[in-house]
Amino acid sequence: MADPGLGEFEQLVLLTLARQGPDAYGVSIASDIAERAKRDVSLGAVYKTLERLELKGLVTSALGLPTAARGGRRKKHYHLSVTGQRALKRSLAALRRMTAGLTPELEL
Amino acid sequence: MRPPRLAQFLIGAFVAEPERELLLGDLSEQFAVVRSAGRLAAWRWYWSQAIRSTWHVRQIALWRRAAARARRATDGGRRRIDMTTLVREFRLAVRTSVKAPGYSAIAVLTLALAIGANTLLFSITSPLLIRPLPIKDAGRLGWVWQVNGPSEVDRGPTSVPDLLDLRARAKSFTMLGGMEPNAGTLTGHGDAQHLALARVTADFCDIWGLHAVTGHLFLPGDDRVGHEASGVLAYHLWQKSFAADPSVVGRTFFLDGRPITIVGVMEPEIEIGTLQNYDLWVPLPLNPALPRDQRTLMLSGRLAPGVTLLAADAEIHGLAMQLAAAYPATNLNWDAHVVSTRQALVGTNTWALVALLTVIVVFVLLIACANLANLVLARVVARRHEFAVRLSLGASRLQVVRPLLAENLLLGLVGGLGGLAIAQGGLQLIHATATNTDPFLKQVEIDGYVMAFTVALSVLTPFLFSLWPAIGAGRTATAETLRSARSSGGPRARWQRDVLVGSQVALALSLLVVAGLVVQTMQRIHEIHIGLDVNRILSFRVALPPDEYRDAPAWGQFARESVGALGALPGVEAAAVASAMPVFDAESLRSLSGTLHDGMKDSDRPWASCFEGSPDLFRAAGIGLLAGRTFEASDTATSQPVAVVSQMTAERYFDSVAGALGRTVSMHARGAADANVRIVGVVTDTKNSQAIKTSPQIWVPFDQQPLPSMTFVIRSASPAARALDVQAVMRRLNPSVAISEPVTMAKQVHDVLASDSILTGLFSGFALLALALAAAGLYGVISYSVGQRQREIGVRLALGAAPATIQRMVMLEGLKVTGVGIVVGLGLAALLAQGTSSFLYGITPNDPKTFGTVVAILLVVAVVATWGPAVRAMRVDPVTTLRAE
Repeated sequence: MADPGLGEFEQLVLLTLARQGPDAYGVSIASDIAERAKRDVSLGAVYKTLERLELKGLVTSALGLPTAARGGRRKKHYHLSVTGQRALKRSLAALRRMTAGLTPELEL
Repeated sequence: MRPPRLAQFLIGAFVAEPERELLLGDLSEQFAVVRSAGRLAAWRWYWSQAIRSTWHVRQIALWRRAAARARRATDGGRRRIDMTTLVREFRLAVRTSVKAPGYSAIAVLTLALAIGANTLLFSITSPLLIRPLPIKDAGRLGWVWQVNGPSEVDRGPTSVPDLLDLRARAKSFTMLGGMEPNAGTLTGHGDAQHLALARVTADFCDIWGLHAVTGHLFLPGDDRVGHEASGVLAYHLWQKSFAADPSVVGRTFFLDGRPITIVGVMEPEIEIGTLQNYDLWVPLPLNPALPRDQRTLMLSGRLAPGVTLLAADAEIHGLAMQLAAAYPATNLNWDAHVVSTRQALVGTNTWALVALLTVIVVFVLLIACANLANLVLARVVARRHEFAVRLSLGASRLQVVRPLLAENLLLGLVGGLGGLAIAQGGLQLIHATATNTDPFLKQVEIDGYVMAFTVALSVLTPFLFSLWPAIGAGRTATAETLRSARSSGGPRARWQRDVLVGSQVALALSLLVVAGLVVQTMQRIHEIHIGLDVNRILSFRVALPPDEYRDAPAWGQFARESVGALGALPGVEAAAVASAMPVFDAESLRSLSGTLHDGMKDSDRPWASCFEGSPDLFRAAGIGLLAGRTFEASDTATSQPVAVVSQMTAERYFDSVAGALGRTVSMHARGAADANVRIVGVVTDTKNSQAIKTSPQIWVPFDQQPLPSMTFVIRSASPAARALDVQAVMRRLNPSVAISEPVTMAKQVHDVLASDSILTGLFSGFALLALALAAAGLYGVISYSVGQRQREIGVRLALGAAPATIQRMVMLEGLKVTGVGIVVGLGLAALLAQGTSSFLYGITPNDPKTFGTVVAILLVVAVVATWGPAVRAMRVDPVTTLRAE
């Protein structure tokens, strides 16, 4: 089966997971994307993407313990699966290959 | 500062777990961070997040649902798991049922009785309602009935000239034919045989789409006058008298002395209802010269394509009006209308009866369901803890309720089997009671349709009675239930029980009222004195072969000789002959005119049923003489024509019994000149052929108007013992004259009333069943409630309440529910009783005595049912009860 590749937002989410390690959860992912990618994302959009990545097997999740800051509610931790890591690598390598030699024009 | 509550509430309403918890948690956590940017900004942030996130997260739920559906559709393994779950569930159900033998036995018994009642009734009604008729495309068949308001005729036959006119003018029918019952004597094949004939027009077999088993049916032209020489054997006669020999086709016999060639054998499928009585089908010559008031043909026809019954009805009605205007002497007041096949084969009264009985058995089923629902409710309440634990451990509502449904489904199926057995027993009883006059009831059986009905009922009923309690069980408020130590049913369960018992009482009451009305009607019918001395009469019929007895003098001669020979038999008190007997035979109506009393309008022509009788008839039949004289041997064909009228005729048309004597009336006889007769006597009334009504009658001497078909009446102290002598005498007189089997009049009456007895049995059986079930329900609920409230009662007693007060309290509780049920039931009963009015006799639908009695019965039953539990409540030992806490 052909690899459908990753969407841009999926890439952002997976990169955040790679950066934050096993403690990543909804708010931390959303605020990291807001800070670094300067994008105002809704938590729901993050959940939706995570759900899709989980269905594809790129992400695994586990329920955490309730905390007082969350009004006694639990959080769900996400982390990158081995397949997810491989998919992210493949996607970034493709991106790098595609951008090679374009640096001046794209003012990176 | 807290997150906006409304936003939180909306997320709670639109986002499902587990995302709801995650989202609300994340938002609360981040809200604390954002708050530093200012109140308004934080508030705006929260709302924007809430709305956008809700939208996204809802999509997750949609994916999940789609994925689950796809899994179900593709995953074959999943279905295997379902099967094993089903088996497991059923095994569990069997175990649970065996462990609670009391409940199971009561449930199975209740279900068997209710399903049995329904199955029994359905086996009787299904042939009328759903079984296909052996007629081709019966829906396109229209039946023409003559209606005459003043003469109280509502499904009357048509005359031959009227049929010919209708055929020529009606555009609604492509074919229109008729059938006329008749009788004749078949000779040339062993002993002379008295046969019931169906005389039909040549197109009749095509109209009905009938087929021949062998040979062929009638051909066009077979019914031309003078050409009627072919006959079609009924299947049963072919089997019985001709040993199913196909070579009978083409042979010639003699019907009433005229040669008749058998052209075919009729298919057996047509032998249903009254049609199975016919032995031989013969063509009916359509002689336009026949009188228009000789109405003998039952018409049916094929509707033209696209023509509805209603349109045909309108056209035929219009044509009848034209005929009435063109031939006022014979057709005044005669209207005609078109009805469907089912309507034609099943009387309107039968429809009403079927509807009423159906309502009754459905009520019985509902009462049974209410009873069982109560039992299930009690079990659910007892198992509340178990349900609550399972629900809190994550079981779905369906999973919790499923064992309950499975258990009751099992009981339903076992009960259905029992119901089949009960219905079979009921049918055997009906077969034993039914007589040959009602072949329909002899034929009812449990067939495929009935089986399917019973199975459906056995599966649906458990759902009906376990659904309500099951919903309650699924809703069991978990935390609350788990916290409370005791499992006393809450106010909701109590309310449910009261509603169930109240409706049982209401249903039972209305059933008892209807059954009471019907049973009383039957009793009154049995008590009717029909005006004949039925216990001392033996009678039989004769149809003289026309080749040997050609004219009136010959018929009279035969009658006189026979009466003489029969009267001379030892043990015979009197012998007589009549054209027909009131009550038992069809009547021939005559209009009267002459010196009638004043004030009678022309349109209400006086009429009377006319019977011809020999001198001794009144003595032999037990008809009393009120004034004047009866017939004498001197009233002969050559003497002055005389008549005897019944009391009703005298009083209705001549104001009094004495006033009728000596008057001369003109009787309009069909196809003959008016006969002027002098009234020489007045006799007592007899009932008419409907057996419950009296109508005017006029008698003339048989010798003065002899007929070739006659009924002999033999009076004897032991009529049944005379039968053999009578047959011997008649054979000696003329062996080529076939006579019908001599039957006592008492047996004929019994036969006529047998179907009534069956009906009474059904009504009273169903009503008693309802009463018993309702009583059991009442007892069960009160008893259960006392058991539940033992602690409360114990406390009351310990605090000094008098045991009598406790008893009163418990009984009042039951009677209160009964009272409400009775009030509702009275309304229901009044409604239902109106539906019975058409077959009540001698009693009004709102007979206060019946209603009063039924209410009293129910109250007594309620008191008895609550007494036991109340006494038990009184005897509660406060010490034991409180120590058990």
